[in-house]
Amino acid sequence: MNLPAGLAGELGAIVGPDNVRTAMEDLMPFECDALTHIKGSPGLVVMFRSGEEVAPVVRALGRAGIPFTARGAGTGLAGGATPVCGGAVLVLSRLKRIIELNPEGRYAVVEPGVVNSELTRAAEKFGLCFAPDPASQSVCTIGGNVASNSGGPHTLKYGVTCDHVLGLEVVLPDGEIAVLGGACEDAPGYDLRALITGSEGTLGVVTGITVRLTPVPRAWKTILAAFHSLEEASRAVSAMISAGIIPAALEIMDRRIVKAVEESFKLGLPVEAGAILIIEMDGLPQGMDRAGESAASLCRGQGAFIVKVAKTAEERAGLWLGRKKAGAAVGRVSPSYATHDVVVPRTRLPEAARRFAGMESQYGLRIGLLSHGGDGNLHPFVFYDERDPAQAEARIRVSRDIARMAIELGGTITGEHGIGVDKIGFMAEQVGADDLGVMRAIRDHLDPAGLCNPGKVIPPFDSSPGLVAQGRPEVKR
Amino acid sequence: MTGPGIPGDIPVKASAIAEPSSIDQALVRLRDAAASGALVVPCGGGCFINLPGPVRQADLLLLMGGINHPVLYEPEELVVRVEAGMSLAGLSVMLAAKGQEVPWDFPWPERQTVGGIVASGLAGPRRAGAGSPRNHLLGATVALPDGRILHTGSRVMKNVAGYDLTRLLAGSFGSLGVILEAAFRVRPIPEDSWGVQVRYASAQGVADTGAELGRSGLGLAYLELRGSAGDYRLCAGVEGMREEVEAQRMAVLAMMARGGQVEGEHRGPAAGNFLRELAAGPWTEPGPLFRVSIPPDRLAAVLQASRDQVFASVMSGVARFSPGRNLTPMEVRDQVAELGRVAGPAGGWVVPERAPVGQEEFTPPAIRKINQGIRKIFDPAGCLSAGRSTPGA
Repeated sequence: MNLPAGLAGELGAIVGPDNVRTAMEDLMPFECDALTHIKGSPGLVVMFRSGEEVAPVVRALGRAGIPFTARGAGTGLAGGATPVCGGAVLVLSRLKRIIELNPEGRYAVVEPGVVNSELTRAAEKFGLCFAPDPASQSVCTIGGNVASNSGGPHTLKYGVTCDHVLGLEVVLPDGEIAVLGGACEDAPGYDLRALITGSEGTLGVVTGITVRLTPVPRAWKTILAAFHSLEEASRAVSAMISAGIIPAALEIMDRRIVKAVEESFKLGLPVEAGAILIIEMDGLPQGMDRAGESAASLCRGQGAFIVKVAKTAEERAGLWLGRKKAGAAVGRVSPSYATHDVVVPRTRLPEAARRFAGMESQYGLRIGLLSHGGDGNLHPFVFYDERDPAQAEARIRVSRDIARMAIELGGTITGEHGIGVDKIGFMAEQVGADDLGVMRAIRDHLDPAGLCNPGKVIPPFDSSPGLVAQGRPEVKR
Repeated sequence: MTGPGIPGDIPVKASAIAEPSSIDQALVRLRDAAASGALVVPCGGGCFINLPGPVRQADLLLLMGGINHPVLYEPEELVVRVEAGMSLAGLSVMLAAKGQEVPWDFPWPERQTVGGIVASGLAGPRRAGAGSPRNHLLGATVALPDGRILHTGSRVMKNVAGYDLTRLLAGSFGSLGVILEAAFRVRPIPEDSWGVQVRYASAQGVADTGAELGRSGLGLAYLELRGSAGDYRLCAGVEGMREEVEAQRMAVLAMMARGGQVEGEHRGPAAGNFLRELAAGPWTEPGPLFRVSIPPDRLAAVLQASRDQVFASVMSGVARFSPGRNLTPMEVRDQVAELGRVAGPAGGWVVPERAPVGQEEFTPPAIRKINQGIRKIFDPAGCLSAGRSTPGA
């Protein structure tokens, strides 16, 4: 895309000349986010010194007809921050001030570039935290969390980002600034905070966020249970929920993931297990022992042959270590891997596992399963070698089948990563024509010029299912 | 239409009333009405039909209470999906049979419907600890007047595929579509619960205690304020395992007793009754209400600015003031302006409810423009709740 002469200078007058980059070597790091196999070519990159600079930049881009894509830390896994239509990348990661942290009111006002775990670190001295905890929380930004409505292992108890957003300041695609909500509840009118949260930067650029802070639990009880099969582990989860126990986290690793972790890191996990369940309860110390004993007993009742209860903080960290190293372990045992974040009704997990086994047989690739077992959010890892065209092709087919399986089982193609460009080809199958039509109309209403992160979330009219699976998103504007 | 025990004396004067007993019947009535250009007002139990403002015109009042069957209930999934006309009481009975609940507290559970609760966007005292119906809503089936049927969200706990049309419905007051079904996450009924009422003589005493409880890190289920100048009752509650409830009871009592006088404690079933009394909130008061959203730590300022009866959910930062009598439009505007002078600089806002002045007047132009456009997308002909004062549009 050719940029109008003088645009870089106009933007430089707003943000400072050094903060507008146009040299090829400066643009390359912004060609994609953490979904690296789909790339775009930005024409320029804009950095910001303050949130006030965003609106005039958006207005200038609008006048020039240049599309723009907001970006936080670039940790997104769906290509939401990939500039597939070129144009400008608006880098918000330098806007990282915690403007207010109010322990009495249990809220914080932050700029979009504040790193997720930095906010929790700042709030911890008041006994509070920001509850959404995606795996990338040490680097991902709150603005990115809002864009993708991030979850994490503790969603079952604490909800997703949207449940913790009280207010937003948004630069709309026309450059106007809208303030939605604030440090309290019940803004009049439609819930526009919820509309913007999870819209993946397609309805505006978020420049300020007011989030709810949650008390840090005073005690934890962490249990590792090893089962002969995924079915047993799944039944144990059901038994806990039926008994009224809602853990803060319920993580499942299947045999293949356990094996990968052991091969890579030798943590002493039982490789003979068909599945490992990590259960974590949190809250007050009082009652925690009784809850832990109940959970352990229910696991044994469903066939757990190992039940370890952490007695110290170190032991707790040790039980979590295998889960936290799973992604790295897969990377060490397989030349390439593709991850997914489908959701199925939790009790359909055994059915999903059988389908994965069928896909393994059909396509000749291995699939390892990590799951947020409490909410049915599955992260199947497909092991393959990208250098082998046949395997690469098979992987694409497996990814397509996984997405369709989730829809068939009554779930969704994405529980926390978002649609981005990665899954845009499945949107029509996921949400239906009328819903998609309403979403498209909302986008047109807020962004009639189609400049705000085009090519994401809402497919073009002529897109065909499975577009993504080919790894060549065709975006028409 | 004014139901028994339902507050407000603003009847809906509709040319016709339809009471479909199935979704198909409702769709036919909606389609026929829309085709003839009639103005349709969907209605659950009618309990909050006078929110956010009175219904000004209705050609057809579409009563949804007869469409009230369960659609799907999977206790192990912690998910329920029901038809929109199911009453809160009916839903609660169904869930209680499996030891589960929706932690929603409203004044008329026998009459209030699931669809009405979603459409009103209201929340009861336990929003502080457990979230509001808006937070629990997973998906909905919605009929639009032009025949489109939306299936928003899903039946699973997490779903980020596309824009969140589901939560747009919460607080839309029937202006976007007719809610036919809704799915929610549910939770186990807590093993134990406890509530306390403490009297305070000053707004500052209330605010100091609220701030101390906020800083404490305690997981309160609710913190509700009732009363008026110089005579306040602060009501706190906790829920959970027996051991947790007992430990928190001691801590909460110690903090609250320092600034106030403990008037009563309630445990177990008695705590449930206490909560139900609190759930009545301002809704049995006559006349308009002034809803003030203000950061919880700045509540004292707004308490000191009004001598009207106040009903506040302290931790959510929402206070409703009731003058207890009908007001003229000018009086409403004056009162909004007066409260706004305190709430605005503190980062809050004020809107009237059940008042002869619509909320749209107090909504920033940029937001109104967005809301109006969204409404037109769902209901291009302006058929739904067109005579109803709609939220911010």
